[in-house]
Amino acid sequence: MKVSWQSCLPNQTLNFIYKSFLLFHGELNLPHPSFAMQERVFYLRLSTKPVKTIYLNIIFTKNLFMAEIVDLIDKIKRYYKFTPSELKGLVISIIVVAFIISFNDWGVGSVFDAKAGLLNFFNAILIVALSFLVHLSAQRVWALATGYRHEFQMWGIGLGVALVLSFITNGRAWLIIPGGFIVHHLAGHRLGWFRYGINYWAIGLIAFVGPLASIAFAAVFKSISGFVSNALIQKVIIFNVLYAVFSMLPVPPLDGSKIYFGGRMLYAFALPAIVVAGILLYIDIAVWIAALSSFLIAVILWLLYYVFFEKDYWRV
Amino acid sequence: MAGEFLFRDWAQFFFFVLMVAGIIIALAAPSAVISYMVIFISGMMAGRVMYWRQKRFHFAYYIVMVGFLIGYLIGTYYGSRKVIVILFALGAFLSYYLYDKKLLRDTLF
Repeated sequence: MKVSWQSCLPNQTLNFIYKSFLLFHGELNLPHPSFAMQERVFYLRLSTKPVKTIYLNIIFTKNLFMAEIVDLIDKIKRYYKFTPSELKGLVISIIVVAFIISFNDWGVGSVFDAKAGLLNFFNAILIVALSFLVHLSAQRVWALATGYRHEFQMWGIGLGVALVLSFITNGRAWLIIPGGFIVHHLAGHRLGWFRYGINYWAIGLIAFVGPLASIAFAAVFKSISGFVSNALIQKVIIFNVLYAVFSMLPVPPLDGSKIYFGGRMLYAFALPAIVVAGILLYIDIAVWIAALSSFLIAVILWLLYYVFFEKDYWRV
Repeated sequence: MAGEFLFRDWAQFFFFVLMVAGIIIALAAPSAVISYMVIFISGMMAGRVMYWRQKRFHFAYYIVMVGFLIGYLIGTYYGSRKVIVILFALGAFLSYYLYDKKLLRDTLF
């Protein structure tokens, strides 16, 4: 079956690919560039030819990379927007989670103070909305880069359990499990070497980007707290750390379950990396030490998991 | 043996587990208002599950939900038990209605 990409690619990308081929199609006696444009795989096959391999590889790699960037920017412009259904779920999740994290801030001690409570609730909404945006945006962009469209889905049962836990512990326990995501295959935008539809590994990687972004966001605020420290910044750090850690739970529809189904080895690396980074960011330690230590500890635990558990299963 | 029991008679098992959970949650509620809010939210979660099973009716799920309600009623210290039953039913109905009319959308797993 012959697939035409012309209808689904932006003109900018098409021109870019076209011009890239014009550079050498005469020299290598290639078919007309319009034929080559149908299959990005063709680029890779060309680079195995003995003629000027290094030179061609540099051009191919550069042009391929640039085309990917142009393509990604176009995809973000087209598909980044949240759908009305997603927005509804997101707004409900933000309000519920903001209520949970500001539960203890409605007055001092047992004295109820509506004004202070509303102010704290508004601050909590800002924190939660910003943190969710970072988490979901990272997943969304990564998903688009790998050929999927990400869709946030609220988890009603999770939010209910979190609310109940918050009520019975007087707001001392924060369970941040707002929901998960599903992905849609962008078949029309698939270019080149991969076009087999949705697979667990790709979804696992998309899921892992979310907690990673939350930890990075917490690390940014941890760095800022070295210069300007206040209660709000501390709350952002704690919230993002907890959000990343709870996201790693292997319970559907949370990110952790998708990472786990993506690959046990991926989960064996991701879980310690996120948890250790979260703990180290929470205690008073430099950000770069926290990042390096969490990576090293995650690698060690990943190897230990392989040696003691996984290796036997891989033996045929 | 235990696995077989869990596989075959899971409804009884979860009836018991949720009943104990209901007792603990009800005992942990520090006031009548909190107690009412918790049962209303629990009712909403029950309504979500009922909406999920609307096409394939499964009586076991109702047994499990009733187990939680019984546990909650046993453990309730503050507040009226009649109000608790009404709020649970109201929460379940409201949630079912919102999902049925597509006003709320979410995922179960």
